[in-house]
Amino acid sequence: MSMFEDIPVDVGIIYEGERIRGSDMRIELGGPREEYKFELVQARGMDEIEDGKVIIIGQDISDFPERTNTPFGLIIEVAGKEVEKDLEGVVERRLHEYCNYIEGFMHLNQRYDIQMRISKKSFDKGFTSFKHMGEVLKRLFKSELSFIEKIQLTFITEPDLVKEWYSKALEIYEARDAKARGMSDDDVDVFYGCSLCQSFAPTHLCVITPQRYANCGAISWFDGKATAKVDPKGPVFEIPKGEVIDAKTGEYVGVNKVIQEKSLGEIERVQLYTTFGYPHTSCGCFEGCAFFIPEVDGFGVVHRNFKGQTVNGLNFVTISDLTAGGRQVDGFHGLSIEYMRSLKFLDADGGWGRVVWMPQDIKERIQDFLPPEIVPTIATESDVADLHQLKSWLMEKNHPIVERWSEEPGFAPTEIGEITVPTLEMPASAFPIQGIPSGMGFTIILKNAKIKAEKMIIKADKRR
Amino acid sequence: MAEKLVISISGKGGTGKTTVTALLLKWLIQNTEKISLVVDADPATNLPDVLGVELQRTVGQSSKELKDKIEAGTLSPTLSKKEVLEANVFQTLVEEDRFDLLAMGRSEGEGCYCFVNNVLTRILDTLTRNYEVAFLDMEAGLEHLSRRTDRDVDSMIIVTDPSRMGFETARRIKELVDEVHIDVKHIYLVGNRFTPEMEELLQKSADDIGLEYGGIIPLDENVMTFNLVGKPLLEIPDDSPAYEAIGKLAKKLGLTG
Repeated sequence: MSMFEDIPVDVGIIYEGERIRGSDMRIELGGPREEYKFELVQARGMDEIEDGKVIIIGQDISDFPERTNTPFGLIIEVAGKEVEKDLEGVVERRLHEYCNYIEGFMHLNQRYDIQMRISKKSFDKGFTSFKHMGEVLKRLFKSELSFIEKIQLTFITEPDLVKEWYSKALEIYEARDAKARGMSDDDVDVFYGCSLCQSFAPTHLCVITPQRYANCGAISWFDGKATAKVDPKGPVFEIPKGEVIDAKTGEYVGVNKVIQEKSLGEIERVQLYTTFGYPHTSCGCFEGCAFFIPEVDGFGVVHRNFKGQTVNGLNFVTISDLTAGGRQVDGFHGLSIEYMRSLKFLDADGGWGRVVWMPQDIKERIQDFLPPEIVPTIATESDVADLHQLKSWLMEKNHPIVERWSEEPGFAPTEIGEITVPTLEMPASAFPIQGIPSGMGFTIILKNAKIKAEKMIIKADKRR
Repeated sequence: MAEKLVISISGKGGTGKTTVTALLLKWLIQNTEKISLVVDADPATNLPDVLGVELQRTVGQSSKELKDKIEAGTLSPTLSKKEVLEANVFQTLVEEDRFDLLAMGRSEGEGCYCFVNNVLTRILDTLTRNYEVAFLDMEAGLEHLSRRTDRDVDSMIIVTDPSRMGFETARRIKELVDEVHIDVKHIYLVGNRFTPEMEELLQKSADDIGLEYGGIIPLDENVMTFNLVGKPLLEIPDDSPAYEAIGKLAKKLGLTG
C-alpha cells in the first residue's frame, strides 16, 4: 500500500490473523499480566482536537527492554460534522481490525481486556515508536470512515495515568452498554438469522433481534452483526425485517419470507413475542423454556440446569421434548435467559404479568430485570410443590394473573378433582374405533375448551 | 511463507499416541529450525506432563467460562464474543521456546455449544496457520473424525500396538475418513512397541486396510521408565531405540529441512 510508504513495516489485510509468539515478541501492551489497559474512542468538538496529532505519555516502544509488558492506554479522539457520541463504539470496534493490518503486530480482544504484541522482526525493521502506530491508525480511520474529519491519538504507558484513565473508561463503557441494552427492535431495520442448529432441527431458524437473543443465549444482535459481516453467506446472516405486520406480536414481512425459505416451506409465519398461534420455533439447545399452565392461565419458566420437577410435575427434559425440533407448539417456547431480561419477553401474551412459577436459581439471576412488583408474586420450587399450592400462593400474593381469572368469563380455576360426564347418546355411523362394536358411532366436538385430563377413557355402553 | 504441515496422531487408547507426538516433537526441535504448535485434543490432557510443561487452563475451560458469562448476563451486550474467546484461547497457550502447546480439555457444561464451537473452529484455524508444523494429538474415540476436526490435516498417523483391537481401530478410522470425506494426503500406520519380527505383519495389515506403512517403534525401556516416573520425554537420550526409530517416520512426513 503506497499510503504507508513512510511506515517501516508493511500494512495490509494479509496480516490479519498473525500471532506473535512469546519468544518472537519485542513488547506486550496490556495483556493478562497487566491489570490496567484500555482502548477508548471519544467524540469531540471540531475545536477541541488537533487533526493528526499523536501524543505519547510515558515510555515509547524502544524505551522498554526486550520481552517486557506494560500498562497501556490508547485514546482516540475524533471530530466531524456527523460525528456523534453514538458512533464512538462503532469507531472503536474498528481498532481490532486496523491494528491487525500492521505487519508483526497482534491485537486481541477489546476495551479493557486488550492484549497487543509487537514482533522483534518489525521492531528491527524500524517500528520502534507509537508514532508509527498512530500514523497507520490515523490514515486507516480517515480513509475508511469518511465522517471522521479530525483525529487525534494519545498513547499512554505512564502507569498512574493509565490507571486513572482506566476507571474513567470503565464508566464510559458501562454507560454505552446501558444504552445498548435499551435498544429496541424498532430501532433497527435488520435482524439476523441463525441456522447453526438446523443439523438437529432442520426447520428451525433463530431470529435474532436487539430484544430477542438466539435461543442458545450465545448470539446477540451485535454478535449477529459481527458474524454476518465476516461470513455473509454463513450460518448467521442478515434478515431485512421489512414491513411490520403486527407490532404487538412481532410479525414482519421480511422475517416470514426468510423463515419460509429456510424452513423449506414448513413454517410460514413467525410472531416473535408470543407462544401462541405462530410462535418462534425452538431448536433443541435452548437455555430455558416457557410453558403454559392452563390451570392458572399463566406461564412457568424453567431452565436447563434445573434438575427437579416443575410445578406441574414435569422436568426440563420432558418439557424440552415437547418443545424442540423446529415446530410451532402452542404454549411451549424455547428461549434464552437473556431474552428473559428483555422488555419484549412474551410481550404479546402479557409478559412477566403472566409468569407464575420459575426455579429459585433463575429467579435470583434475573430478578433485577423484572418489574419489581411482580418479583415477590412469582412462586419457586421452594414456595409451592403443586398446582393446588400454586393457586393459593397466587391469590395470597395477589399476582396480577388473579385479576385475569375474573375477567375471563367461564374461567374459574376452582378445585376440580374428577368430573363425570354424563353418558352420551352416540349417533350412528361415525368412524370405527377398535373395541367399539360397529353401529356405535359417536362424535366429539370440543370448542373453546380448556381441558387437562390425566387419562381419557372411552367405554362402550354395555347395553346394546 | 514456508510450507505448513498439519499432522494428526490417532489410534486406539493406550497405543502410544502421546509418546509418538512427543518423540516427533523432540526430533523436530533437534533436527530443524521449525516452530510448532502442539495441540492436545485428548480430554485426558496428558501431553503437557509428557512434554514437561505447565498448563494453566484448557480451551474447554475458556469456552465454559464464556458460556457462564453469557448465562449470567455479565458480558457487555456490544462486545464481540468471538474476540473474547479468541483472546481467551490465545491466553491458554503454553509458550515454550520452540513450540507452543494448546490443550483442548473436556468440553464442559451443558447446553448449546453450537455457536461457541463454530467460533472456536475458526479461531483454531487462524492460530494453526501461524506455525510451520502443527501436531494434533487426538482423543482415543473416533468422534473427532465425524466432527471433521481432522479436515485440514496433511498427514494422519494411526498408532497401533501389537493387538487385534489396535488394527481393528485403525481399520475403522480409515473407513470413517473415507465415509466423511476427509481429504488427507497421507495416512500412515505406525506400530508402537513392536519387535522387528512383527514388522512384516504390520506391513501386510497396512496394505490390507489401505494405509501407507509408517514403520515400527520398538519397545523402549527409556520410554517406559520416563513415563513411569513422569520425566518429560523431550529429555529422553538420543540413543533410545524409540527415538532412533522416530527419525524415519519424521522424514516420511516431510518434517526435514
